[in-house]
Amino acid sequence: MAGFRLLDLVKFFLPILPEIEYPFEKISFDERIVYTVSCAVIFLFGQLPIYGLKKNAQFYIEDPFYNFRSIFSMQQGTLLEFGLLPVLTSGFIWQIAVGLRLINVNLGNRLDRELFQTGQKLTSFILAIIYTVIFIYVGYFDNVIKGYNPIEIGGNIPWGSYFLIGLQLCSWSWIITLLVEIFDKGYGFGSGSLCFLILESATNFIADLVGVEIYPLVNSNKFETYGASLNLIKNFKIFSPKETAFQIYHAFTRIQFPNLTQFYISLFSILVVIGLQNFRIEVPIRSTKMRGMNNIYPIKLLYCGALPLLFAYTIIANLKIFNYLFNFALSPYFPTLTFKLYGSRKVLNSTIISFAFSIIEAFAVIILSSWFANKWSFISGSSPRDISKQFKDQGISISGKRDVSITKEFNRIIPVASVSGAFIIAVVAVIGEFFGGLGKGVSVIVGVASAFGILEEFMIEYQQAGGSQFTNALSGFQ
Amino acid sequence: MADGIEKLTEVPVEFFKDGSAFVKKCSKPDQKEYFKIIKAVGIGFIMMGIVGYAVKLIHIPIRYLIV
Repeated sequence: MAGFRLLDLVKFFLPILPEIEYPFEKISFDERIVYTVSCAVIFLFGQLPIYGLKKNAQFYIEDPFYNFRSIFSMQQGTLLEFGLLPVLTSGFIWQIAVGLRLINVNLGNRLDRELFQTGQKLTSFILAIIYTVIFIYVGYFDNVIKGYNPIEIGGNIPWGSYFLIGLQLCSWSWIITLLVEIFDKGYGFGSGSLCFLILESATNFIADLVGVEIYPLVNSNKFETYGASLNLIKNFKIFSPKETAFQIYHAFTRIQFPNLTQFYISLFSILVVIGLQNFRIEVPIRSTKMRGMNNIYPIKLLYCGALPLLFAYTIIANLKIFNYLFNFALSPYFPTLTFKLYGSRKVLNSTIISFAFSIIEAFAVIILSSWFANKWSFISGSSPRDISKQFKDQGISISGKRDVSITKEFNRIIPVASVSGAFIIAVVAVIGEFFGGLGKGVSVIVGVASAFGILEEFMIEYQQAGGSQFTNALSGFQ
Repeated sequence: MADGIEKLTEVPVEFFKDGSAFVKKCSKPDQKEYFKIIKAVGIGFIMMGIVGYAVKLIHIPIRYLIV
């Protein structure tokens, strides 16, 4: 089988998969803004509920995945039930496969690159189908399907509803994959999935704080506002200090809706990440062509941004989904062996086993993200070798170093930077989770850290385009 | 065997040494710079959140129509 490559398998699917074409000419700055904004709006429409479920289904589904929903913008009971998880998982699988040389691909070759991208898309499509099948097989939606009572003996299995729900979940997941592809092929700013994550975490941040929707509380006839601080203000009774104290306590601890603890954890994480973002080592560089041209080349501590953290949580999320499946599938045979590890919230809060597991999870996050950062600093487009090549092309050298030792010097600095950055950011995230951030802290960390990268690209484009029609039009009003 | 264990502990120890040395060597933002960035990022983040949330609010009537 010499010369056979895994990548060639993808070739069969090339003609049948929908594909975003590369832009014919360079997309102008304004067009990119339009593409970015409209994709974001389409993405947000994924928050519409699934057809065929009961009203306010999100509060009645027993949710085993509550602590990483916000990281992947998985919205319960909506079309975004899987959020960005299929896209991110397939992306990481392929990148790591290349990084570890499991598949042989030459990204400089156009056909190879195309196959690589199609492979990612295909994996993402397949993952969406797998997740859908798992969720429906385990009976995730059974509680909330309209006109179906799972407890009733002899009731008909709602095949029609299952099919309808599965169809909606799969097709929306595919649409998200294609939306991400639009970004990745150069129509938008930055990477598509990161852009959506930023949008989602910013939206959730605001909604958690001042969301105005009013939802019924489960198992009672009371109603509460979605936003934590708005609910607190609404229930403030100045003449009854006891009631007020209770409401303040309640605002920090309520479970069904976002609470203030999560808000403060998010805020704290944002402040730390912004601080860390500006930690950098400045390598003095000089031009080899002109004398006296000295400058600095910054190497950031967060060299890989929040990608390592995202990678760690992607792995854990997938493990949990498959654990969910195995727990269900094996429970008739080994009722004593399978603990309900990721069961309902009450079970999770009260058991020692789950505490042990959250500690294991914390260590797993830290170790996985450090490992990924180490690998990523060699396989990304800005590895030490790439940078030194870039330096050579532009006639730049590090001050006080000979040309040959540039790669060596970067090899010494960059892996250390990226690993320690990933380590610190993972520790911040884990601390937030430990205090009950339920993924909100992680999601804002990923959001803010990726926002810097996209903002950088945006500013560079803006300066190259020499302003935009939008700003010109806006300045007309002043 | 003892050699293997030594090697196993050596990697994290080395890593912490290198990492802390790196962080110490880093140039850090001063307070003024930090607040400037927080202001810029904060405004951007909140603006984005408000726009995103506004779109989410449009969903409410649609939700009533389809559920």
